[in-house]
Amino acid sequence: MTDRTAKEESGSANPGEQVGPASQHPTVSDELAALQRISPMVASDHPPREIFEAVAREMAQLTNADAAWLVHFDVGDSIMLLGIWPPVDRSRPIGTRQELSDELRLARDAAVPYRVDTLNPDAVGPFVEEALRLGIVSSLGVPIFLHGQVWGLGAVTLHRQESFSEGHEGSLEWFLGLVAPALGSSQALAEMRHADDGQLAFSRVAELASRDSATDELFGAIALEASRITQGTSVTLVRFGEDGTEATVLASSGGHIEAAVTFPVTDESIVGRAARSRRPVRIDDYSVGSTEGAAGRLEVRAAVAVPVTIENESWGVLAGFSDDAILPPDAERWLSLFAKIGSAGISSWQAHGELRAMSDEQTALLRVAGLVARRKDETELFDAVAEEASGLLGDVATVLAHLDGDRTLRVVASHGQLVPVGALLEIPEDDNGTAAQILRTMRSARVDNRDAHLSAVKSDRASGAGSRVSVPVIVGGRLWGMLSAVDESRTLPPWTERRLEKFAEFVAAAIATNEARSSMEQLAEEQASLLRVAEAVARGMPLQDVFAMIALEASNVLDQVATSLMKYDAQGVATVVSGWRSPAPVGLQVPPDAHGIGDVFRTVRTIRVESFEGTNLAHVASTLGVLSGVAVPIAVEGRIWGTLTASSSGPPLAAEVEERLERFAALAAVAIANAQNKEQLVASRARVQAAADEARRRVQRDVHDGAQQQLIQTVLALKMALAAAKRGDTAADLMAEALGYAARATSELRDLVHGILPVSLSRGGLRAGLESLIRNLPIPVELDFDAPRCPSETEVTAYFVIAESLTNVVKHAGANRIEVGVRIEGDRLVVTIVDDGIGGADPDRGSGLIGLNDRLQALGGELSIESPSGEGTSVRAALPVAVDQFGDEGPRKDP
Amino acid sequence: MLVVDDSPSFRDLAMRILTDWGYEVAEANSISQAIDRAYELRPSAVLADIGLPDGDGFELTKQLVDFPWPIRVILISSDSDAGNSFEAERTGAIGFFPKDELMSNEFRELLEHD
Repeated sequence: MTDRTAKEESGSANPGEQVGPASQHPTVSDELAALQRISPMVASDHPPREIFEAVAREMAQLTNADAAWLVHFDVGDSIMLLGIWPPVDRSRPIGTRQELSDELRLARDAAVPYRVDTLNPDAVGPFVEEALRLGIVSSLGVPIFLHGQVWGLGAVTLHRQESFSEGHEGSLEWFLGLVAPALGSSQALAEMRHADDGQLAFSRVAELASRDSATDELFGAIALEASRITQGTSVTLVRFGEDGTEATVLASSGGHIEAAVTFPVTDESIVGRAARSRRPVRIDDYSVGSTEGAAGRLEVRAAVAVPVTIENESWGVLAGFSDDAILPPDAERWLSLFAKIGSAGISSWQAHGELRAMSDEQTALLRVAGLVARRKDETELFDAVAEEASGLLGDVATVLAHLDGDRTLRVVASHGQLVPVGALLEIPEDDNGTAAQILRTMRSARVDNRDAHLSAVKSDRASGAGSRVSVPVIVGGRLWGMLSAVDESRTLPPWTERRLEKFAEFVAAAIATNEARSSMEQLAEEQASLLRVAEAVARGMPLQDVFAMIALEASNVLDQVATSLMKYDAQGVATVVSGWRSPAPVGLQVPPDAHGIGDVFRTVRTIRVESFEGTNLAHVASTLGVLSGVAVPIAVEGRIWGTLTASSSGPPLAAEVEERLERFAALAAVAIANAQNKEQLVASRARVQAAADEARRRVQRDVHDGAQQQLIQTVLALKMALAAAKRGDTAADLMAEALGYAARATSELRDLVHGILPVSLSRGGLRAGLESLIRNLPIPVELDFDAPRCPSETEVTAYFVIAESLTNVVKHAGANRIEVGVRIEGDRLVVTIVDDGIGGADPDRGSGLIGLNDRLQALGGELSIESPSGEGTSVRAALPVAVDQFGDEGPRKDP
Repeated sequence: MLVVDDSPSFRDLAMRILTDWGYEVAEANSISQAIDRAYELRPSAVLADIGLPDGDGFELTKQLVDFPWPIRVILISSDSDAGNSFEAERTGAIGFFPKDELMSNEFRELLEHD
C-alpha cells in the first residue's frame, strides 16, 4: 500500500507499473464475451430492468470498476436512472428521474467521455454529495449515442485510490456503442410498460408493441383502442412521407378514411400543425374556420391531432375525428399516450430489426468466410454469396456476374431463378441500367421503378415498385464483376446498397485471394507440365509420343478441354496427329480453306472460333459435337508446321486459353525442330561417313592402280636385272627400266598426298595452302588474306570450302576472274569466294557443297550462297574461332 | 601360256619373264579377251590378275576350269591379301601369287611341276 501511494505521489504515469485490479486492461475477447452475454438477453426480450442491470454489470467487469451506472437523458433537464451495478441501492428503481447535475449536463452537451481521477471533496453540488456519500474516489463516464444524439451516459466508479485508464475508456465506448440500440429499445419498452400501469386498454397494444413483428396489427390496435377510450371517436394513424409533404393512412378505426390512402399535408391542416408544433392540436368546430381540404370533404366537425415522434423526428400523427360533437376533453391525453406507445413499439421494432439484421449479416458473412477459409472452389463460393445475400435481403433474387470482356457479364451465380448461371448478358452502350452505371462509375447503382414511373400511385406497395440494386466487385483495382439484387414487387430498402457492398468487398477479397492462389497453382501446374514435356523432348522421346504427350498435358492443364495436334502439308491440309479428350480422331484431315484451322496456316497466328455455325466446318464440327475452339500455330524455324487446338462442346473457352496453348505449341515446335535437327544430323553424319569411306576407297584405288603397280614393276624389273647380272648378262637396261617405274611411283604418290591434304596447307597454314592452290588455276584469282593462324581443322575446312568453290567456278561459272577473301569478323573466320560468272548456282545440287556444309556444321559454322542468274556467284562461309585462341590481344595477324 | 592383265607394262614384264623361262606366251587385257584367246590358243596355263576391267580373276577362273579341256589357272595381284589364296583355291585356281613374287622359285616350281 505504501509503495503504491508513493508511486502515485511521485506522479508515476506508467500504467504498466500500477498494481491492482483497475490496471488490468480488458482484452478483445473480454469485450466480445461481454457483448455475447448481452445479445441473447435482448434477442429474447428480457425485461428491460434485467438488461440494464446486465449492461451495468458488464461495464463494471470490463473496467474492473467497483460500481457502474446507466442513465438516460430524458426530455428537458432531467435524467432517468436505468441501471446500477452492484444492485445495492434498491431505493432508486429504474425510471427514477432526477434533476440533471452540472457535471452530467456538461457530459451530455460536450458529448465526450469524462474522467475524474480523484474527486475533489471541496467541490459542491448534489452530484458530488451523492458521490461522497457513496465513497466514490474516481470515475469515468462515456456518452451513449443513439441515432446521432446523446441518448444517455454509462459511468463506472472506483471506491479506492486508483484511476481508470484510456484503455478502459476505449473499451467502454466500444461496448456501449454496440449495445446502444438495445438500450434504446429496452428503455422505450420500459417507458411504455410504465405507462401501462392499470390501463387494460393498453395491454393488447403494449403486448403487440413488445413483439418485433406485425406493425400493421399494432397500428390497427392503436387506432381501435384509442377510439374506444375516447368514446367512439374515429381515430386515424397517418405516417409522413420522406419529405413530409404527404401522409399515408396506416390505420383507421372509423369509416371516414381508408388505410393506404395518401394525401397532401398542408401547413394549415390539423395534421400539419400538430407535426410542426409537436403538440396536440384541437379543432372543436371546423365550420367556424375553413371547410376546405380533407376535413371538408370528409364532413368532419371536430378533431384532435397529436404528433407521433420517433427518435426526435416527426414520424406521423394520431388523430381523432368526430362528425357530430367535439371530442372529450381528455382526448389529447389519451391520444398522446397511445402515440407514445406506438412510437415505443416502432422504436423497439426498428431496434430489434437492426440488431437482428446486424447479426444476420455477420452470420451470413461468417459462413462465406468459412468457405474461403476452407478453400472451397469458386463456384461453391459464388453460389454461397448469391444465396446468403439473397437471404439477408429477404429472399430477393440475386445475381453475381463476372465481367467477361468490355461489356459482357457472365453469370457465375444466381439465386432466385432470375437468370441461369453461365448466361451472357450484353450491356448496350446506351443503356442506363445498374450494370451500365457501374461500368461508367465503378460505384453502386440503383434503379427503382418508382423513379422510372413517377406517376405511379405511391400507396400501392405491391405493384410498380420493383427495384434493382447493383454493387461493383472490384478486384485489384479493376472491375471484376457485380453483385445485384432484384425485387420485382417492392422497392429495395435504402440500406440494400450498404449490405451488398459489404458482401461485394468480402467477395472481392475472397476472389483476389482465390485468384492469386489459383493463378499460382495454375502456374505451378503448368510449369510442371511444360517441364515434363521439355524433359521428354530433351530425352529424345519419339516425335509421335511427344505429340501425344503435348495433347494430354495441354488438356490437363487447360481444365480438361479437348486438344488436338495437327500437322499441315505443303498445301495446308491439316491432319490430326494426336489428341486428348478430343472427338477428332487421329488421321482426320481438314482442308486448307477450313474455317479457323486454315486461317492459322495462312496467317501463322492464333485464331479463336466462337461458333462454327455457318462456316465450312459447320458439318464436321456438329458431327464431332464441337461448338467453339482456339487454334494456335506451331511454327518451326519460322515456317508453319502445324497447329495445336483446344475445342469445347460446352461453354466458350476461357480467355487465357490462347496464351497457355501457345506455350505448349512452342514446346511442340522445339520438339519438332529437335527431331528434324536430329534427322538432319543423322543424315549429315551418314554423309560425312560416306564421304570418308569414299575418300578411303579412292586412296586405296589410287595407290593400288598407281604407285603400287609401279613399285611392283620396279621390284620385278630389278629382280630380272639381278638375275641377268648373275648370269653375267648386261643389267643396265633393266635397271633403267626399274628406275623409270620407281620415278613414276614417286610422282604418283606425291600427287596422291597432295590430294589428301596439300603440304603447303599443313606446313604453312591457310595462306600458303591457298597461294599454292590458286597458282595452278586457269582463271586469275585475287586473294585478299587478312587473318591470323587458326586451329588446323578450321584452316583445313576453310581451305576445302575455297578449293571446292574454285573448282565449281572453273568448271561451271564461265568466270573471268575470282576474288577470294579471308578475314576475321568478331569471333569468326569468314571466307568469301566471288566470281563474275553466269550465276544461277543451286546450292542444293551438287554433293560438293552439301559435303562442305556438313563439314562446316560439324564445326558450328555456316555456309551461304548467293547466285543470281547472270550476276556471278558469291559463296560465304563463317567458322567460329574461340577468342582465347588469339591470346589476350585478340586475333594475331599473320606477319 | 596366257597372261591376262589390263596393265600393258605389267603384261610386258610378265611375258618377258615367262618367255625367258621357255614358255610360249600370249596376252589378254580382259576376261572376254582371255576367254576368246583360250578357245583360240588352248593354253595349258593362264596367269590372270584378280582386278580386271570387266570382272575379277575369280570369275575368269570359274569359266576357264569349266572348259572341256584342262586349263591350269594361277591368280596374281598387286597385294598379298591372304583372302585371295583361299578364294583362288575355292574357284579352282591352282595357286595365288603376289605380283612381285613372279620371279620366285615357288612360282616357277608350280608352273613346271607337271
